[in-house]
Amino acid sequence: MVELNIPAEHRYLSMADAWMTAFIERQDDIANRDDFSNEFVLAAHELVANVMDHAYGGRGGKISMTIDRAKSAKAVVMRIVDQGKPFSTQSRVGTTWSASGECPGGRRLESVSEPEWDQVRGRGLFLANSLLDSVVYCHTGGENLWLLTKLSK
Amino acid sequence: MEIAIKDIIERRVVIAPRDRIDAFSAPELRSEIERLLLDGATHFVLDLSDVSFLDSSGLAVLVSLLKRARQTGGDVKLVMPREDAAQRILKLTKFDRVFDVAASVDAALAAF
Repeated sequence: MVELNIPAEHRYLSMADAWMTAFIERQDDIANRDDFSNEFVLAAHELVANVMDHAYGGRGGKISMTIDRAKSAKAVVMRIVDQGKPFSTQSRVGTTWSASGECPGGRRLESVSEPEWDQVRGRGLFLANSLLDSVVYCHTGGENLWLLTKLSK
Repeated sequence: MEIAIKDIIERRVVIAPRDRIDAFSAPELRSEIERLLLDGATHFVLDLSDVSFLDSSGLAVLVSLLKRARQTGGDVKLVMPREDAAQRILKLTKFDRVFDVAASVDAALAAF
């Protein structure tokens, strides 16, 4: 497991992307590693940016992340933790969620409506859902936790 | 004899950002585009050949430009990024079908 903590400022997004890319580069058994990496990094990047913009409202804070291999499957898993405003799964129009046992009160993203071409905002969750195998959100102990999983196929 | 003359100037601009267009750099691109629009540019070629990464903030700038350009009777042509990492988001969001895509800047300019 590798850990990275960054300030919730957009200028650190590229650092987070490079960190994820470097981890995945070292996973020799991941099939089509370049494609896997591009997809994982884009999806996680969108969620990290969402945390910066919505959980912290652009006012700064800390984002703690870990990236690791899943224990039981050929997959990469990432945790994104922040202490900002909780995310409301119910108020996100066009998304459906199911209960997840991954964490207390966990909600798993099941579907996201494809945004209209001229929609300026709201593509982050769509991209994450399209590119990852699992996106789970929990709010517990005053923290927001996003659990991302992508399987190597 | 009365002769009415209209001098129609179609101002074409090529914008070629490099490297990353993401939540950090997108505001700068947006400001530059705003300046060009206020300056009267109507037809744009967005040359993304040298863009290495594009996120949804970058897409938002592209959408905004397309809407504004079309409102003034203009348009936007897109030259796709060479890098897979940047192409991916354009294909996933079907932006490669929303925009007119050209193989090169010259082809894009000729297509207006």
